[in-house]
Amino acid sequence: MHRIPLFAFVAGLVAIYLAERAFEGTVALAMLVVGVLAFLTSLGVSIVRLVQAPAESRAVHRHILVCQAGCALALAMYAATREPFSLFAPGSAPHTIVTVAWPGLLLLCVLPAIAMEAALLSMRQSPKIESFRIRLAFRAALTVSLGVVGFAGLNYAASEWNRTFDVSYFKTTKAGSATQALLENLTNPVHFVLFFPPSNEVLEQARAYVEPLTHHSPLVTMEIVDHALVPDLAKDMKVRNNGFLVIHANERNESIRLGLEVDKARSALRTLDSQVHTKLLELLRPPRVAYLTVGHAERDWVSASDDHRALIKLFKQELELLGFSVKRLGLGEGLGAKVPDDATVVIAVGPLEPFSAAEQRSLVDYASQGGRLLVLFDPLYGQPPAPWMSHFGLRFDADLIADDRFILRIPGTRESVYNIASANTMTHPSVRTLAALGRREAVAFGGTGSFETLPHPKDELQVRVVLRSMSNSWKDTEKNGRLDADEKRHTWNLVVAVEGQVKAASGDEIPTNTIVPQDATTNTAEDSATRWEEDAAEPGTANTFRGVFVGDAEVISDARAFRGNRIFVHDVLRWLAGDEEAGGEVESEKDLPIVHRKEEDAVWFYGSSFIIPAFILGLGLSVSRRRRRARRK
Amino acid sequence: MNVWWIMRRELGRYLRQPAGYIILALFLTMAGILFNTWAVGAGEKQRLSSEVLESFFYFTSGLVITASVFNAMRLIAEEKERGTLVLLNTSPVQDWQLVLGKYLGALVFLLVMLACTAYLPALVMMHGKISIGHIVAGYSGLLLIGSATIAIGLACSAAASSQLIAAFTSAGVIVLFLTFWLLAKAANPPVEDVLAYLSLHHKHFQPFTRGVVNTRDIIFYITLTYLGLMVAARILETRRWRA
Repeated sequence: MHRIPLFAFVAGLVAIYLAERAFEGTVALAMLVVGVLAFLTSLGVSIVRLVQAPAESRAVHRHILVCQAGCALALAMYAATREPFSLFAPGSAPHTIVTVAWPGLLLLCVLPAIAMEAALLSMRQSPKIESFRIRLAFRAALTVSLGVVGFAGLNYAASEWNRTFDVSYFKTTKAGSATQALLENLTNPVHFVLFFPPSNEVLEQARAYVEPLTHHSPLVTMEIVDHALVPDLAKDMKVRNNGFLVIHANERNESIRLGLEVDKARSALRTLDSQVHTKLLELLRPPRVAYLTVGHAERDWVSASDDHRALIKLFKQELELLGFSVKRLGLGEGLGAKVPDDATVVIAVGPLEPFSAAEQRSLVDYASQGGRLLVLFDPLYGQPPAPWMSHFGLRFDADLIADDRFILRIPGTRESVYNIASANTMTHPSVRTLAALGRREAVAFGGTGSFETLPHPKDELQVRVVLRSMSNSWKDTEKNGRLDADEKRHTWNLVVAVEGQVKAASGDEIPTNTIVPQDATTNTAEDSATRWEEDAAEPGTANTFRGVFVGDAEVISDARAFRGNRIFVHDVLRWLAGDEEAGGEVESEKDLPIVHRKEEDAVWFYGSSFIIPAFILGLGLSVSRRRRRARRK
Repeated sequence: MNVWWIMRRELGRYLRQPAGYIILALFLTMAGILFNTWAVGAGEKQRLSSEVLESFFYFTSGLVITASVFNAMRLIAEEKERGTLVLLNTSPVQDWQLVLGKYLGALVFLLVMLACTAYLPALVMMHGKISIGHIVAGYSGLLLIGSATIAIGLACSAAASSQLIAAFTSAGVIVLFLTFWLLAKAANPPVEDVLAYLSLHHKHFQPFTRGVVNTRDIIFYITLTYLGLMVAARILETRRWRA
């Protein structure tokens, strides 16, 4: 009899819960009716007890009744949010308030009611109810209920206002500054869709990356959907399964496959930022083509038997990462006639043979039409003269720059004073990220020449030195690797950016490619024997040209795959493509494997598994033994 | 001040007795074996340094949870078994001081255990590319999950009449919290979201293993610890109103 109120109360609530969540149809209705009847029974018994209770224990029964009434109110509030009893429009403020309030009220009333009933039950044999015990039970249960409600509220707030700090080395959950810059300068919406089932670990990692992207621009939105629940959307986005991140922009979609299992998704997650960056470039920018000149013994990404210079495989990958498709351009591809119209940039990487007159004319014409050039020289390997540089206000000096302080020691190669590094950047958009890093990153060279600027019409052409050597360096004119008496320490121009209007090449005269030494202080347009004849007949061909000229092709080779060089390459290519606002780093550095050999395994295993724990045990036992001896004394 | 003395006494039980060092040595042995066979993958294909560190924190969390359950089971249940709880009842020590002192004693011992494993991620750092921040984040996660487990174990120890029952009860509660993420997959919203959020390890601990610190995860563990300790104190208080 004494147990009826407690059991009816608990059974009623459980039956109502099961009816709502676990069953359907007639069974659910039956469970609901049983639950409500049980609950009302306990309520009725509590009222009867209150009426029949002696005066000193009436307060106790009143407390219990109030708690049960509170539960009834909470259930009524729940019913008011559900059909067919719904009193508020779904999504309205009152609906939200009631939806949040009823579980809290239920919890605040259920636990105290159960605690007080349990305390009352324990006194069923007692002639008198000890109300202070009931009050203590009520207080304890209410405190726990408040604690649980507070726990829920605090954690809800914490999940809404979550801040993520990625302190790992590779920061795979954080977008690189390049991706962030791209999103901050959006003009059209970008929508990220994650196709994943709920509670998936790969989803958690992908969401940790994508969610912060939405903070960079109001045009960036994110959605998480289960593939099975949105067949139409999946069909539109051409996604057949879960485990994909789809980026939608400019009415096009690009997808990245991540997978559903963490072990298999690891490599994709590690390079997620670089993949997202590449896809965004494909979606937001027009198609870009980089033409690399061939036919003049340039460096290539495929090895040649007679070329022992480092390849440029990584440079090609960086181009593709930045959204360029890479093609070759030589006489066979029409370089003698003109540079293809779809060229975003033309790159000459360490040509050891001179360009023909026709090729030079094509390149200069291309530049005059607003083309983009990246030319890298290879003075260490016998750079031929390049008199056509004068067209861009430059003269290239093939004497190597040496340094005996800021040198690079590269494992597996002999130490050389020509392996220099420089962080002496100027403020220019073509080296934006590198300049922002200051002395923290440097560009590594492996035998560089230098540039001299020639007199040029400053209102048409802006020639800017963007990277100089460190002040300790000298020009090794004697080619002996030593600082001689007539050689002076100085800063030398290693990388130059040119921007402006380049005059188109004339039709008939083909200049020779012999060296004409030019003194920068005395050179004038009349004195120069290698200047193109100005074409006065075509004033309309002048467009904004951008070119970057680098004294050493080794900078972009696989042998100089350092962070500073990578940043330099990204900065230069973005500036040439007109994307300098999207400057920054893309997070895709490679991790190192933990290498161990079989004979090392035994040392590692026994050392870390047994020797160190045995040492700790020995130390501890000796400490405790010494304490025991001291206590006995 | 009472909290301090109780904490010292608890810590002394671990560090002045050989048993504490045996537990520590066993913990380090298990950590070393798992590090070499699972994290590094001896004899198999080489794993990247960040993967090795992630695996290290992952399996160490299992050891931390197990060690915390065993440490916590005796905190109050042992007092009941020995009959010394009566002495505490009649002393001027309040229930919350007793709970907090015992919790801090167990937590500091856990901290000592974790500190002794530092040579393992140091080995990875010497040969790989990982940051100090990643290691600190991982250990912070281990301390937080250990703290929450100790608090839950303490509540179960306060409710149980013997250490064995306390161990089984706290293990059952911890396993329930660990498997919430599985239950979430079978549930519908909003229960699904609630269960997924309450998952002790899957949702809140795994970011720490990758060097990612979320404020919501820190708050989850701290509030869960507080809730466990509060429940333990309230359970001790019920001695007074139970007939």
